[in-house]
Amino acid sequence: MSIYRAHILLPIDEGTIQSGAIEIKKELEKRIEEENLKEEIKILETGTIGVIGKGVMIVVYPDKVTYYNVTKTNLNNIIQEHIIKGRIAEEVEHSYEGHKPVEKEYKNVGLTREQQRIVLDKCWKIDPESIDDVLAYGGYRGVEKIFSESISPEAVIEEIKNSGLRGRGGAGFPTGLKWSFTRAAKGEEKFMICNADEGEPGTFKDRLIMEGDPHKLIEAMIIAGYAVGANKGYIYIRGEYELSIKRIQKAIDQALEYNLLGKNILETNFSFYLEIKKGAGAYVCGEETALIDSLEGKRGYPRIKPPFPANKGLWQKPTCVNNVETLANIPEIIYKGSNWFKKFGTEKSTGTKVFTILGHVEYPGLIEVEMGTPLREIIFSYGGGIKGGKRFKAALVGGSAGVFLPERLLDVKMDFESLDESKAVLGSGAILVMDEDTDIVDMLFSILKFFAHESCGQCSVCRIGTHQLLNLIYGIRRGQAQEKDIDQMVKIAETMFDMSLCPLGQSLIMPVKSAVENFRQDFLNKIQNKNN
Amino acid sequence: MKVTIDNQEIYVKEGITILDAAQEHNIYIPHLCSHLELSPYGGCRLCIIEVEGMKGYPTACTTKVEDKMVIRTHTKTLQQMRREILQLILSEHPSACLICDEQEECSSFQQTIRKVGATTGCRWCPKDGDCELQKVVDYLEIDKITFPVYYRQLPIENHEPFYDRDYNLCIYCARCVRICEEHRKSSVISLRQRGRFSTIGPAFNMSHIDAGCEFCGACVSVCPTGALSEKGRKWGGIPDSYNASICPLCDLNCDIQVLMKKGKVIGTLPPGDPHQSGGELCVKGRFCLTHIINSPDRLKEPEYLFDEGIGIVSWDEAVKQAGKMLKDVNGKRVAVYLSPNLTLEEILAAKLFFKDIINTSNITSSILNSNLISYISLSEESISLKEIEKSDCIISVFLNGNYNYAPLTLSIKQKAEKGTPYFQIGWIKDTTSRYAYQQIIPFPGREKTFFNKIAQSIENADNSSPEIKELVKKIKISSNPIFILGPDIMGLTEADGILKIIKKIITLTGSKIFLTNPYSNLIGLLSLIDTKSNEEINELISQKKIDLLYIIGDNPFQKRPPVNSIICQSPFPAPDYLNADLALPSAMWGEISGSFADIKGNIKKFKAVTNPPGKAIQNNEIFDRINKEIGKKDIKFTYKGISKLIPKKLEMRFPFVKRKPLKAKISPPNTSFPLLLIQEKNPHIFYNISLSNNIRDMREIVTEDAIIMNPTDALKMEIQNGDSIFVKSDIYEKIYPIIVRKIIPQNFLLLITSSRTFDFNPNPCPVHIRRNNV
Repeated sequence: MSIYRAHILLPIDEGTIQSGAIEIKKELEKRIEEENLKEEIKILETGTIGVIGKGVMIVVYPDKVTYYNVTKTNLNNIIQEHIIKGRIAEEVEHSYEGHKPVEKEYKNVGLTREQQRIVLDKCWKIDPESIDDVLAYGGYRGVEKIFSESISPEAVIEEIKNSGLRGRGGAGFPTGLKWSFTRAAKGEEKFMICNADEGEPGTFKDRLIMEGDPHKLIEAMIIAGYAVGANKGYIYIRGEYELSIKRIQKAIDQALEYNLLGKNILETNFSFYLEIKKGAGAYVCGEETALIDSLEGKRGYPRIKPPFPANKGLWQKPTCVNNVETLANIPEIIYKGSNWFKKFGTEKSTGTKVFTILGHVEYPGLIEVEMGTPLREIIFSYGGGIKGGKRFKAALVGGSAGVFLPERLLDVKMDFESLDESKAVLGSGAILVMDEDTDIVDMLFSILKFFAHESCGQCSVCRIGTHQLLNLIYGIRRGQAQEKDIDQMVKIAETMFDMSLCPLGQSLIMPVKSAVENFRQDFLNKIQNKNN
Repeated sequence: MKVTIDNQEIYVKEGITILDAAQEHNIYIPHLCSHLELSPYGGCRLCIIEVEGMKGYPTACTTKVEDKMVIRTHTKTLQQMRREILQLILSEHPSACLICDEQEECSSFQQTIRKVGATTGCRWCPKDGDCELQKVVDYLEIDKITFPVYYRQLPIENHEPFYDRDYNLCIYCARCVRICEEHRKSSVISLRQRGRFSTIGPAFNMSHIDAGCEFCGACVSVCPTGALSEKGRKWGGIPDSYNASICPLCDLNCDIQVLMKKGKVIGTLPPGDPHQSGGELCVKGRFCLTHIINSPDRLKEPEYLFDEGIGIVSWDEAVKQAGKMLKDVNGKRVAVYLSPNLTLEEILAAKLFFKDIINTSNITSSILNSNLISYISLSEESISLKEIEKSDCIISVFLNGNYNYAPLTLSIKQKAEKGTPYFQIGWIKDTTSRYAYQQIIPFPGREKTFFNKIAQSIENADNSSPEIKELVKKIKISSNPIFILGPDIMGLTEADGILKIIKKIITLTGSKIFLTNPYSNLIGLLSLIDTKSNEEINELISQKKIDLLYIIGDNPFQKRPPVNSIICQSPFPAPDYLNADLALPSAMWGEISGSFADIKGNIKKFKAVTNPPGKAIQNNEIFDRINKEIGKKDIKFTYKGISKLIPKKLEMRFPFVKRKPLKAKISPPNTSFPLLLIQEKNPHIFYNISLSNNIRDMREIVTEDAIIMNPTDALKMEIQNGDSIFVKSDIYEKIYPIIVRKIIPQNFLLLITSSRTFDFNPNPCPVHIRRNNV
C-alpha cells in the first residue's frame, strides 16, 4: 500500500451528482494526472458530508479544508494553490479546522460544527464502495463481537432494550421490544425488513446514510436478523434512490464475498441473505404493513392490525420492520455497549438523532445531534440562523405530517417526550424553517396537495377527507371562503384522526390544527383580502 | 364466549368479528364495505364502535370478539361520527335521490305524458332496491350535506357487454375487487391510481374482455351502490318475487333463482341472498337466460307453409295439418330430431308419441355423431363435481373454461391455489390458465402423437419432452388424479383416436374422469330413448328413405334435406333455409316444469315460473293435441301423466355407430401453411339457436365466424382488430374478420362456428393468411 501526501475526498451523493460531481471528478483526475501528482495525491469518493445546496464539494486531507461550489474553473485554483503550493485557496468558498466555517460572524455556527455522530460517523470519511475502507475504519465490529464472543440473540435484544433505542421512523417504538416480539413469535421462517422507502417530503437522512455508509446498514441487518431469528432480509429502498440502490447492492456483493453475508457467516451456524426491493413511489408504502404488501408484489395497502407484522408479516410469517436510521445505530450499540449509548440524549430518548434542516436557513443540510437538543440551537447554531437575517416565523417539524411550531415554542427540546408535551412530533426529523415572508396557508396547501395525492384510497375518510381539505384550502387561497371554512378544515382533520385506517390519514390533524391554531391570522388575511 | 353489546349480554363463537356477532343477534351496525363472504377490508369506516379498554374507535368488521368485551355501537358520539363519514362519502356520490325533498313522490311521477316522451326525476342509478348506501342514509337520517359536493366526471363505461359501470357512483368499498379475487379467483379488476383519483378496473386500462373477465356478474351482485348495474335489468326496478330454478344452459344444471316482475323474468341470480350472492354462475346463467326467454325472436304462433308462402295459422288448423302429414306417412319413413335441451318429461312424451303412435325408430339428435358417442361413452368412469375436491392432481384436456362451467373452473382454481398440481393440455388460454402448474400445448398438427407419447411415457420411461415427463411424474405420485375433458375434443378430426388413447391413459394410471358437455339433458336423452346416430339417419335421408322430418328444438341441417315435409317444433323459429312446412311454437325453460339428468343419472327438478309468450304451448300439450287429431291410442302426454313414468335411476344406452376410416390427411404446419387453424363448435347453443347469434352481448365475447389471433402474431403481420383476412388451406379458402385476443397462443388461429360441419378439413388445419385487400 502506497502512502499518499494528501487525500482529496469527493462526496458523491445524488445532490452533488446533480451539481456535476462526476464531471468534476473526471476533471480532477485529469488535472492530477497532468500535474504528475498521481503518486502523491489520492482521490477518494465518499458519501455526503451533510451539507446541501453548496454544489460540488471537495475535502482536502490532512488539512481538513472543505471547498464548496467547486466548478471546473475554480478547481484549477484549488489545485494550484492548495495541492501544489500547500496553502488554502482563499478565493473558493471553504471552511477548515474542525469544520468551522471561515466567516467570523458565524463562530461555532453552521452544519460543519462539531457534532456527536453515531449514525453518520463514517459518512464522507470512507469510500462507501470499498469494504476494505469500511473494515479499516471499524466496520463490522459489532458482528465480529457477537460471533467471537458467542453472544446469544436474547442477549443482543437485551442490550438493545437496555440502550433505550427507539424507532427513528416517526413513531418512536422501542426497538428492543419490537425485536423481542418477532423473536418470540412462533414460526420457523422469519423475515427482517429495512424500511428505506423514505417518502417524507424534506427528508433525506436515510438516503445519505445509505449513500455514505451502506455497510453500516448491512451490518445492522445481520445483527437484527440474528437477534430476531431471520435468515432472510429485505431492504425496501425508494425507487428514486438510484445511487443508494447501487451502493447497497455493491455492499451486499462485497459482504457476500467476505462471508459477512450468505451461508454460515464467519464460519458460524448463522446464515443470512439480503435482497433489495425497489419501491414504486407511494408514500403509504412507508407504513410498515403497506410496505410488506408491496414487497409481496401487491398494491401497497395498510393492513388491518392486529395481527401485527411481528406475528404475521411478510407472507404471513413473523417479520420485523425497522427504519434505516434506527438500524444504523445498532452496530455501535453492540460494539460499545448500551451504557455508552445511553450517555447521549435524554433519559427516555437516548442516543442521537439525524435532522435535515431545510428552508430559509443559512446552511441547509444534514446534522446529527444528541436527542434533546433545543430546536433554537439546531436552527440558529447548526442551521446558521434565518437566511438574509429575516425573522423566524415557523418551523415545520417532523415532515409533512408534522407540526408548525411558532416562535414561542422555539426552545422545545427535540426528543420524543418534550415534543409530545408541545403536541408536536419528532417524525422523520425534517425541520423546515420558514421566515416572516412565508405564507402558512400556501405551505399548508402544498402539504394537503401532497396528502390528497398520496392517500392510498382504501378508507373513505382519508380518501375523501384529503380531497375535501384540499377543496377548502383552495377556496381559502382564492379568497372564496368564509371563516367557518377554517374550522371546517379542523373538523375534517379531527374526523380523519379518529377514524382513518392508518397513520397517513390520522396524522393530518397535526399540520392542519397547528397551522390554524398558531397562524389563524394568515388564513383570515387570505379570506378578507380577497373579500374586500 | 360472552360479550356485551349495547348492554345486551350475548354468547358468541370464538374468532368471529364484532360485526358478525352483532348481526347474528340482530344488532344493526351500519356498514358498506363489509360483506359476509369476503375478508375484512375496513374501508368505509362506518362500523366504528367503542370497546371498553381499547383506545380510539375500532371498526366492528375488523375487530375480533374477545371474552367479556363490552361494546357500544350506538352512542351519540358514534352516530355523529358516522354521519360525518357518510356526509364525506355522499359529497362525492351523486345523491339527489337520497336527500331530495321530492324523493317519496319521485318514482310515481317519473313518467309524464306529453307530446314527446320525457322523464322527470334523476336517472343516476338503477334504483332497483339494491342500494345499501340508501339504507345507511335512511338509518342515519341524513337530510343535508355540509361539505362541498363535487362530481368526479368519470366517463360512464357502457361499451362492454352485460353490465354498465358508472364509477361516479362508486364508493370504493372494493367489494367487486375482492369478490373477483377471493371468490372467483379471477383478479380481473383491481384498484387503480390512488387517493381521490382512485378508479376500479383492469390493470393498464385493458378492456374487461382482454383482461379475462368471465362476466359472471359477481361484482354486480355485491356492489352496494348503483355503480355496477346489469344492462338487462338496469331499469327493471324491484322484483316481485324470487323463484328457485335451475339453469338449462349446460349439463352442470346450476341452481339459480329467477327474478320476476309482473309475471316477467327480469333477471337470474345465483341462490342465496340476492344482494349478497357471489359468482357461482357463468355468464350464461347470470345474464343470458333473461335474454333468451324474453327474446323478441321467439316463435309465438304456429306457422304453415302455404303455396303462396309462410302464413300464421291457428292451433286448430296447425294441428289438423300436422295430423294430415303424420297420418299419410309410413312410420318407418319418419325421422325425428330431438334437442338435448328438452326435459325428461318432454323426451319421454316424444318417445311415446313417436315409438308407439307414429311407429318410428329413427330418432336422433343433431349432436349424436360418432365423436360425441366415443366421448360420452367415457362417462362410465365419470365422477361428480364434488369429487374433484378429493383429487390431488388435475389434468384438463381441451377444456375451454371461458364463459362456461363456472362451478367446475372455480373448483379447479380453488384446488390449484391450495397447491394441487393442475396441468392444462390444450391451446386455449382460459380462466384456469393462470393457476396451471403447466400449460402444455400439444404438438401442432400431431395431437394424437402427443397423447401417444404420454401413454408411452407412463408405460416406460422414455425420452419424451420435459413437459410430458413432468406431467407423468406428477400423475404417478398422486393417488387420485382426475382428467377433465372439454367438448372441444369432439371437434378434432382425430377425436376418436385421441379419446381411445386417453382411455388407455386413464386405465394405466387409475385416474378418474370428468366430462363436460354443453347440453343440459344429453344424458336424459340417451337414457330414455334408443337413439340412432346422426350419421345413420343422414344416410337414410340421402338414400331418400325418409319422407317426413319431425324436428323438436333442434337444428340439424344447413340446407333443406331431400324430404317431402318438415315439421319444426321449437321455442324459436326454424331457420329460413329449411322451408319448414309447419312450425309449432313450444314453451321452453321457465315456462315449463320438468327435470334434467346429470352425468351420474341423478334427476334434478325445476318448476315453471312464467307463461309462454303468444300462443306457444308446452311440447307435451302439442303431442296431446296431435294425438287427439290422429286418434290412434289413448295416451295422456301431459306433464302430470308423464312425470310418473320417469324411472328413478337412469342409465345411458349408446347408439351403434359404424366407424369409417379417416379420409383427411392430418399434417403439421409447414412453410407454405405456417399457422394452425383450430375450429371449435360454439358450445353456447340452446335449442336451435346459438346464444352468440341471438344475444348481442354474447356475440362480443364469443364471436362466431371470425378468426381469433394472438396479439404478437397480429403485430408481426401488421394486422389489426377488425381487419378482413384471407385464410387459405391447401384445399379451401375463405375471408374472415380478425379479432385480436390473448386467449390463443402464437402461431395458432381460432375459429368458432355454430355450423354442423367445419369449413376447413382436417381440424386442426394448417393454413396461411394474408390481408384481404392486399
